[in-house]
Amino acid sequence: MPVDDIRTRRGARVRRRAIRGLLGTAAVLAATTLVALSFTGGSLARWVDTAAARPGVVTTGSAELDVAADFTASNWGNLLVGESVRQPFTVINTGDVPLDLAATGSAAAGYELRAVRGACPVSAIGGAALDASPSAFGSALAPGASAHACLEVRLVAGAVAGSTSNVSVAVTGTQVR
Amino acid sequence: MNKFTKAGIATAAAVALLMGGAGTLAYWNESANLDADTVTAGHLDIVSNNDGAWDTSVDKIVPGDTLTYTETFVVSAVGDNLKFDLEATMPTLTGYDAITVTPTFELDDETLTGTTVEDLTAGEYSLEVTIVVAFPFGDDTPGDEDEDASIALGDVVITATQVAA
Repeated sequence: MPVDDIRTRRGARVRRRAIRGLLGTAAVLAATTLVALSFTGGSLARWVDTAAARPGVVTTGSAELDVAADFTASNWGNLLVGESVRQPFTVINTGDVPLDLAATGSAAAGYELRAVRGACPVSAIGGAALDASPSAFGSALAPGASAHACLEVRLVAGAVAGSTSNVSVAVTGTQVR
Repeated sequence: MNKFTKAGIATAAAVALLMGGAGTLAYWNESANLDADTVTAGHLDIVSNNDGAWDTSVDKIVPGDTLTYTETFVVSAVGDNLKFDLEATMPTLTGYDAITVTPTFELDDETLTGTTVEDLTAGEYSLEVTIVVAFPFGDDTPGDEDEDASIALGDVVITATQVAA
């Protein structure tokens, strides 16, 4: 075989291998590019948004009643049957709602309790004595308002001479509209 | 010329031929620009107008009081094929038996019967949220229910969620 033929065939083989190599590389690059494009922007999405109305905190009030008294205990002493002693006290609405007032009272037998709104009268207070059932005690008291009142202790028949009695009076406030 | 010299020259020539052949390999490429239009994304937004307020300035509520809180929102939905649902949620008030909290909703001035509106389409909507706090005055035996309480009402959360068109 002529030398020229051998050289030509060798050169051609080398060139064919080189061309195949280049084509193979190009094919890989094209495939890579195609794959990259097909995956661009492929993440799934669904829109959502939120907002909130925020009313915050609401605070409730209360019903509160105080009674202030500066009684002189000796004034209630040494009563005779038919005698009564009156001393003033004050009712204060310290809550957030207007209150209707009622009073209850308890004492030993022969001792009667009575209460009225306003200044203490000179003479005995009329009406029934206080007991365990609430008795209306004047008009409603507004929040922050105070009212003067009077408590009477009266000795009546049935009281044991020389006895003593614990006296208890409760003023109850009930919300009114 | 002796045979070794001839062989050397032939080898050099062959190398030169091989190197010259490899350097002339080529592949062609061409490019052209695709002039596509600008693509714009829409949006789905719900935004408060930050105008939430109570109808009265009551420091402390008591039995017989009713308070109303109102806040408005803008719902903006942009997208040719956009469809979405609106849903409102609010935590249930517990531990305060005498007090009720009731939310209501108006979408474009129309009162909604429930807490969800489905399949809304693109557009701009006005949403009004109203929360009524009621502390009824009762004729039952008086007591001290829910006095001196600090009640956190919780947020009414409005959610706009895209659904399949």
